[in-house]
Amino acid sequence: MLLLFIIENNLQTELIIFTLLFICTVCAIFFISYFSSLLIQRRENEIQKIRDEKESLLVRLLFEGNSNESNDEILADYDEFRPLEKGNRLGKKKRMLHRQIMVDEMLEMKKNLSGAGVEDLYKLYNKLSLHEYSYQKLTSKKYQLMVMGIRELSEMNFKIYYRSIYRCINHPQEDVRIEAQVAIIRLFGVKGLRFLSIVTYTISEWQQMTLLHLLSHMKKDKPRGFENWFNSKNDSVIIFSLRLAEMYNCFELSDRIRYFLYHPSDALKIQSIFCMRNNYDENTELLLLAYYPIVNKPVKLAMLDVLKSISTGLSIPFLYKQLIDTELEIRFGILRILYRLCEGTEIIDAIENEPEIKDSIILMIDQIKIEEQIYN
Amino acid sequence: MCWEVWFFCFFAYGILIYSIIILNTYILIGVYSVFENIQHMRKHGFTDYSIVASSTVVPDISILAPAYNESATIVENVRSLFSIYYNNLEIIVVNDGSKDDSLQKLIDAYSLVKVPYLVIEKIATEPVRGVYKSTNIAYKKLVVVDKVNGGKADALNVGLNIASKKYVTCIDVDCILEQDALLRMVKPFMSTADKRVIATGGVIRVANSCEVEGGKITKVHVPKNMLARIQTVEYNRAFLLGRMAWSKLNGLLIISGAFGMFDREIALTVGGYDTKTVGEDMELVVRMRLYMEDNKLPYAVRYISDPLCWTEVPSSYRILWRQRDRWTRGTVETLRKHKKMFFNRKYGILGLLSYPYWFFFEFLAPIIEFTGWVFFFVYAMMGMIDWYFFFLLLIFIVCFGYLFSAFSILIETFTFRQYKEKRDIPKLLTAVLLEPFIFHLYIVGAAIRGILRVMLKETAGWGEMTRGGFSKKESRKCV
Repeated sequence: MLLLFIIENNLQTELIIFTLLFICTVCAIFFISYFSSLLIQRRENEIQKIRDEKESLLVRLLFEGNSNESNDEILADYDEFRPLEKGNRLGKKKRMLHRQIMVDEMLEMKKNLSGAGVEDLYKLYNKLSLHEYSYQKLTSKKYQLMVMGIRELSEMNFKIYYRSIYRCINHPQEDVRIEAQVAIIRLFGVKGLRFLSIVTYTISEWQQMTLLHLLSHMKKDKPRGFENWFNSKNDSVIIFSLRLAEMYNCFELSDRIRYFLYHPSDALKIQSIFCMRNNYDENTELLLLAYYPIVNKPVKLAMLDVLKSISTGLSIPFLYKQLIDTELEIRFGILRILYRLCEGTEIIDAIENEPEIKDSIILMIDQIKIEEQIYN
Repeated sequence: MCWEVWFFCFFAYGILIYSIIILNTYILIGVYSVFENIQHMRKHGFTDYSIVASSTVVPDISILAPAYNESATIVENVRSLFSIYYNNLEIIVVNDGSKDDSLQKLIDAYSLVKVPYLVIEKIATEPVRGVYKSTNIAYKKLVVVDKVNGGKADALNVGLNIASKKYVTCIDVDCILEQDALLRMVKPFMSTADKRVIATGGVIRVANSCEVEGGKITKVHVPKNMLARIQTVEYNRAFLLGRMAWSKLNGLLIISGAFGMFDREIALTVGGYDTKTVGEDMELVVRMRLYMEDNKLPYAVRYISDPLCWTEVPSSYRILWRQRDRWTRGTVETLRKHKKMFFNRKYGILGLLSYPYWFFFEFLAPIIEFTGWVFFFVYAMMGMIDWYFFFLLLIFIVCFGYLFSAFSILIETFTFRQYKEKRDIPKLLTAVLLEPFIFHLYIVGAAIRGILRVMLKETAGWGEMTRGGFSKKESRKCV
């Protein structure tokens, strides 16, 4: 609009000034780009220097066994800790930076330590009062700081503040509640799963995967509270509970798990079917076969996948009848079960009267046979 | 007013108004992308991918890598795919009727044997000659498909038919992926609860002059070749500003064919890649989005702004010309095929913003610019140019381009900081200065050629590509 105005009013001097200003802006952006890159580089170098300092300090401390000394002794021994202390000559910002780098280094080091080494790290974190700094972040109004605080406290196994963390389970900010859920599991393992009883937001697939992965590396105590979770109004809680039941082989829940076969949600149906793979009895196979004709393709494929693992042979006549199913994927699934239960030739004999599907079935059997030969 | 003056005014003011709109659009994109970048930086590091990297409960993914005459690099490229951090993976390499010994090299290197395999043809493709699997359990994840040549889209369709996993990642076989690239790409599919994520795309970075070791980028350098360096600036601008903003609006129309992940079920439902266009990557995304819109299904197309995939850009004008010609043809074909979206309220952002943006500023821009130059020469010969004003306006437009490019470099410096050496930023800024004079005019020419070829209905596919080592490759990215 400005340009149109300039042209209409023949304001050429103004245009020159405008263009010159524009050129100046471009030059300014060029210089800002260049100098900011230099400044950032300098800052990165400075941070790297502090990082190296803290890393070597931690290595010395942990491997020289000084972590049993009192705070004062440690601080007296190592000048490098001074920047972490309150009231030192460094400004608040710099002190915060030193603390943050120290915590980051501890978290990084924890990944490579186990047993007594990790315990020493926890003690040191406590002795240096870094938990206070993490807690400050947890109580901040900025969600990104809250996430950092929760992560640091849980990674350093600091249980004192668990109430504050627990309060974040239903935090409106997704990242905060995800971190809080992970933190509770980190701190309390399977017992921490009680948060499922109060969680109102959907637990995403990614979050479920993260939690299951964390749990898989913890003690194998069975979780308690399935009754509550199975009655949850939050479908994602039920799906996650079914996954837990599958992972922990909760055979005692078999009847309850079967109940979800009648649920209107396909996702729940499929998850309950997968859960039956590890929690089945002599009736499971028949139950699946009874429902097979009335379910849709994804549920059928899930059933076939599970039947492949649990089928005892009861299903053979039924599966032969289903072989004429036009869906090749389903036919493939059925053949994988049949191949496990019978000989390939037996299957071919059985479909002798179905010439239109015979060729494709022979090819599928050959494919399954080769896969079994190569990889099993 | 005589007709010449009327025509002159109409044309000059028309172009001026068009330019003002396009400049304002760029400003909006720039501003919008800043907010998105700030958001990204805040969240940076929230997700600890190392937790799930070794997990066996990650969702299954099939990687589809079409290959045509890649003999020089195929074995190493496939090896680099094996080094990706991901457990539940299936790597499907589709040999699209290569005339060289690509297939034999794969057979020898990975102990492949031809296996009986029933290909369920959900999408019609050229015939499959054979499916090969390895006898070595270490390469259990690898499936090599040999088929009759049918082009990249056809090869990808064969991959979609064969793939058995829920998500498919389509890549150019000679791209270098970051080790956690798949984890980052699959996350949006799993963490979006209220919508179905149908596709995710990643940032493509320029790998020219970078140090590559064992299939990984070990050191990032600004390309030595000026043409590649200018393209680095161009990619920066497109991915850090443009796509970032469009992703925020959920209006992305393209996911680069070099690296994109799709929901296999939706990709199959819409019929896979269109083999009749050279812009198959953009066309598929548009068609998937249309399907979701038509069926009123809540969905999203996500964009990952972290550098995940590195590719070598053309460093010769000849290959660059061919590449840009092809990109333009792809754009025109896709826009023409889906013209019903144009200002169609039914398609929301897609119809009211994304499509018109592509139509006016991607398709029409080279035509208007070219016409502008033609008229400029005519007016100049007729003595109708106010030279003083012309040069001032030229400086203004060129400076605006500089501003936008320098801004993208600034954003890069504050966010991902891939270029860390002292001289890198000055090198990139030099490329910014040269771009309007040695690069821009050339790609406008290539785009005009592409448009003409579509209008004249010239049949031209991807063209013969010669590849030797990690170089001379092309992949479709819209900039």
